[in-house]
Amino acid sequence: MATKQEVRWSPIENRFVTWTFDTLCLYDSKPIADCHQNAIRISNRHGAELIGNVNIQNNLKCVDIHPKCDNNDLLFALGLSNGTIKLATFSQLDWEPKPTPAKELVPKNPRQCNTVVFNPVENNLLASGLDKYKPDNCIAIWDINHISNANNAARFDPKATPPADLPKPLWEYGQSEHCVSIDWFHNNSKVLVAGMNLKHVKLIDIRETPRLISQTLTKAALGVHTNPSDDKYLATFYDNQILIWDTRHMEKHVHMLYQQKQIAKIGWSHTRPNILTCLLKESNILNLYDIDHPIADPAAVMPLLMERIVNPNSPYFLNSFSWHPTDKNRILSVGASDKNIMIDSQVHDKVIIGCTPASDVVWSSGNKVLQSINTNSAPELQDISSKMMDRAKNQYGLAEELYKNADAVKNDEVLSNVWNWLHLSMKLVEDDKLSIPGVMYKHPGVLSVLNIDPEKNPSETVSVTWTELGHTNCGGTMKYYKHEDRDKALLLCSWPIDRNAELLNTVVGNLERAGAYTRAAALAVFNLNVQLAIDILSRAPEHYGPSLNIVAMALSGFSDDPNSVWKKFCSSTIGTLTDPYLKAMFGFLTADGNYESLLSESNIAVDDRVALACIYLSDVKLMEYVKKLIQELRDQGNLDGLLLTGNSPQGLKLIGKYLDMTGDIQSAALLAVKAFSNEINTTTVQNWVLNYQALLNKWKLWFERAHFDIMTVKLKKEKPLPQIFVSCAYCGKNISSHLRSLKTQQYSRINMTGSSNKLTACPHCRKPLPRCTICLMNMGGSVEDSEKDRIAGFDSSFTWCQSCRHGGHAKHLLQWFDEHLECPQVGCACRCNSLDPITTKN
Amino acid sequence: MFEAQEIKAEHKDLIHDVSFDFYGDRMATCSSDQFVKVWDKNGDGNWTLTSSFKAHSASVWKVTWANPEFGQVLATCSFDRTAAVWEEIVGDTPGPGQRGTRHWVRRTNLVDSRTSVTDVKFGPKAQGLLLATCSAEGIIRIYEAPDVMNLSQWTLQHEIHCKLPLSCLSWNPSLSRLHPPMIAVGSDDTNVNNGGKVFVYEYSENSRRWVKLDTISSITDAVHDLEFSPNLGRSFHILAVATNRDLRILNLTPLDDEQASQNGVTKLDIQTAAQFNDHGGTVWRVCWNVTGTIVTSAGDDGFVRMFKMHSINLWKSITSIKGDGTQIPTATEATRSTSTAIPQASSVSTLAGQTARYIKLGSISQPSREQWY
Repeated sequence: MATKQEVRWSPIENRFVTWTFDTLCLYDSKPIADCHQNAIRISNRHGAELIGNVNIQNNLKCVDIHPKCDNNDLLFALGLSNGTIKLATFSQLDWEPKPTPAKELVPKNPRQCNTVVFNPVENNLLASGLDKYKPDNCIAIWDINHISNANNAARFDPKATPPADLPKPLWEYGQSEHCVSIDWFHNNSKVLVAGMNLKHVKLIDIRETPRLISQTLTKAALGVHTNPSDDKYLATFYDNQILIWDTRHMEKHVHMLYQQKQIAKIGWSHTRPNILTCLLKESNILNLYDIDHPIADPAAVMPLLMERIVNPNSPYFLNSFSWHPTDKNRILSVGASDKNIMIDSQVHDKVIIGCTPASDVVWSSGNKVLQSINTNSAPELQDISSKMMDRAKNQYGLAEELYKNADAVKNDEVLSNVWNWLHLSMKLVEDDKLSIPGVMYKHPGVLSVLNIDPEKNPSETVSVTWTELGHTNCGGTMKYYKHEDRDKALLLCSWPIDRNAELLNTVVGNLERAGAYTRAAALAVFNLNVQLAIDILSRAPEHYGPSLNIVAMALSGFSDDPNSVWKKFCSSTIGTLTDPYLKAMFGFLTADGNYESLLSESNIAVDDRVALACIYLSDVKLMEYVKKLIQELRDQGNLDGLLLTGNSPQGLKLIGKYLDMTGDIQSAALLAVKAFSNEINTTTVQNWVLNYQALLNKWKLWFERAHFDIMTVKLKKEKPLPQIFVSCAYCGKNISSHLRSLKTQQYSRINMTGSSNKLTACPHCRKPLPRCTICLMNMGGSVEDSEKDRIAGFDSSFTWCQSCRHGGHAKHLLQWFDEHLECPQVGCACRCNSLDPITTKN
Repeated sequence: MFEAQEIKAEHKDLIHDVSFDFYGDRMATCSSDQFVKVWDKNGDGNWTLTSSFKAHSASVWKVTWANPEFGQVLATCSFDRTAAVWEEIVGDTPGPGQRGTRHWVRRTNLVDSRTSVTDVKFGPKAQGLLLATCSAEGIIRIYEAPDVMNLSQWTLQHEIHCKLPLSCLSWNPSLSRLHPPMIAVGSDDTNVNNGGKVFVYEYSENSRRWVKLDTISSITDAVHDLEFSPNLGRSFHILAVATNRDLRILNLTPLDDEQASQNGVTKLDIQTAAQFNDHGGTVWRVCWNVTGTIVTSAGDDGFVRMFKMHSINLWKSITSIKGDGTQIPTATEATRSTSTAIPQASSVSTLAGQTARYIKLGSISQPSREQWY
């Protein structure tokens, strides 16, 4: 039978009590590591050990625990259905079948006891609320210190007649009324609040005789609870509404909280000020309300209710909950007794977080402390932002020579390949090896160099027999294609043209030095030099893999006879090879003109695949392949694709995709500026430049930012616009623009003379320009200097103090401030010169 | 492993927000104790308190820095129904190399809202000095300081009514001229029947008003925080949303649409890139790193978790840190610790000599959802 179960933390640390109508259980909760094997797991951190359980004969209705505990034993007040209140410590209760020396408080007329509550201040006072009985009171207040034991011992003999001097309550209240819930105030021990008759909330003063302070007519007379942190507030509920009251104005509630279902229980937290917890019937979550936010002017704003949900992840409905008395994060909830659910949940304070550009993450931990970590300090937390910052500090992208930028990104193969390729393609263009009719690209891609017209200018087919290549046991021929465009593409892939042995040796040698033996061997095989491949593999050092020698051995048995044992064996075992290049090598030798699976192998470098296609694919197929590959690489944002696209608009799209995938704005901006100089003014590139500049600014990498700006402006080949203009003081028209236009005219016509142009009056209104404070000449004129023959341009330029706005010729002012501190203008005491910290330092 | 550094904030009540200036050298915190505190990073990288002032007459929800181009300027919003703009005044320099005294002056108090102002954020600097607020009554307000030198004059430019109570707001920080100003707001309304809780607005130059681009209907749970990631020149925007249930990462891609470009209103393609319920419940806050490749979230389980972008639609959890910073278990350690914990309830046997009582814990299907402490 599903029985309602209640729970309550006890004043003894980490002990809690659960009870149903007939059983009371005491548990001890401990960290899981210290737990007894039979302990019940209540959370991932805590287990609960059953200390003992007690059977209660009469139906148990309500329980309260004395707030103080002696000798580690709890004093319980158990309210029973016959109205008796049993007062006993747990050890007394537990000692069955020996008669318990419990005290009993018996009402005059038996009826159900609805609530018992110890006074939180004067702990000896106990209030009880009873059902209605016509001639009797429903609230009784007892003083537990003044109940003699002797009287009660006799009570346990059922046959004995009740002694005449039953313990009497101190006070009684509520004649022929009905009381369901009572609570004491926490700071005022003489006042209690009671929910009565299902329609009244009454405040009762018990200082002398019980006296009614206020009475409010409301249906919400259930679950009366005072706020332990603030006596001002009081919560009650009925049906699906919670009402919050201000005890100073009991006429009307301050708040009404509608719930979706009927309410089972409400309660305040002792450790979290002003947090009201609410459990609904047939629900497995708890709602938390923060009812109060400190407000200086209480009349101005209603207190806000912030809702929060605690989900103990219970599979069944919950019956009750209890906040841990000291740990403000713990709340224990229980379900019906037959479901046996006890869950100790953690309710954490809200954590707020913040991130800085330097990858610090800061979060709050409680009210007082912020925690901070730097994600750059832990390798597992690093990402592109820390990489970019390091690269920026290493002057990545700022080098004039493109290949130097590859050094800055050595640990990123794709990026360093891109920079190396850009360098290669630029060199090839400079050496005029890639002349493409009509298109001028700084870094042409394979797609732009391949302009084969299969009709008019098809590729020439070359056949070579294996016998010619030194394999006397082979009878077949290899067919490949030759075209000048294909040669250009091969150059871009840094492959040897027309199986040039010398070039092949250099390429292969480079790869060998880098330790890429299998790739070198595969390249040799692709260039039909099987012998070289065998040499390479047998040369490979031991530590690289002993199997390479075996592979060399296997390769030496090469035969192109389709029926040969070698070929059959190869075809069957090729799948077991893991190295993509070894696989490709044997795949190539057994391909018989079908290279598709080889060319779609993404583990082989894009340039090798493209070069292979350029040699062995027919014109039509080659173009198809290249276009397909571009599409594929662009969708992946793979920068290897730049080999195919070059610095065409398609290449820019590819970089955009790379940026989308990785967030590497640095490489995107640098590549765009360096390689795509013809697109530098497009919105896309401008946007990338802007973003990269902003990022450098955030990191305070001012010098890097300045170098980048200088580089960008240089590549833009555009003169930066002037930032300061001089306008006439009278007509307000721009003088500098006139000067500029005058100059350009001069350049075109009479600049030969070299005379500086003189402009002493506004060209628009003919009013004179201001005078120099020293020589009193109108500005615009040049400085006369007898000592020197040539007059530097700067001497005659107009300068002024940013503060007092007096000025004159730069040369005159410099001379003046060599000897003076104050402004040369008569009557102005501005210390112009000392305002400038740089000049003062000098 | 890495160690968390502790900063003693010494607020008297719950801290509601922490915010950094453009460079991350200055930090501002705000709290229910109605105070705002400003911190500066010293040479050793430690934070020192430089100012502390009572900003409002109720809980201060959010604090935010303006771009340093406009000076040292803060904005705050509060439960007292106002938002305020603050400027730091530096007194005369007593001598060379010494700093003058500093204090914060309230430049303006924005009192248009009739309910709690839940979030405040400065707009991107390219738009001038703009300030957006959102409030519990469901109104976004956009203010502008026409003269950036005079921070005491703000004009209310736009009011956008959203119908649902709003909890958070984020400007799209994109620097691109192709992207008009955009704002996303979230509502913490708990009723899932009220539909989508995230709204995206854009300023239309043609009509000179803010137009609703989309209501993100896939998010019906209450939203507690949201933030656009730094755009960084990407072709799409990333929005992280903290809901009652999970952390969502959304990709908002402006579409090249003929019709859209004609009437000057962007069309958005909105895709959910990732969804994480690692917090096992409410996610309170989200935060982006400088490149928008790592999102940090904080949730009900008291953990700070980080997720990293591996590709456009591929995000993975990289770490979870306990709120107090003491323990930093990785995901693998977490599973280990739960599996080595004491035997599950099924193996719990009768306590010897005592009345039997079987307690079964709820079976937990998803280990990641478990709270494990």
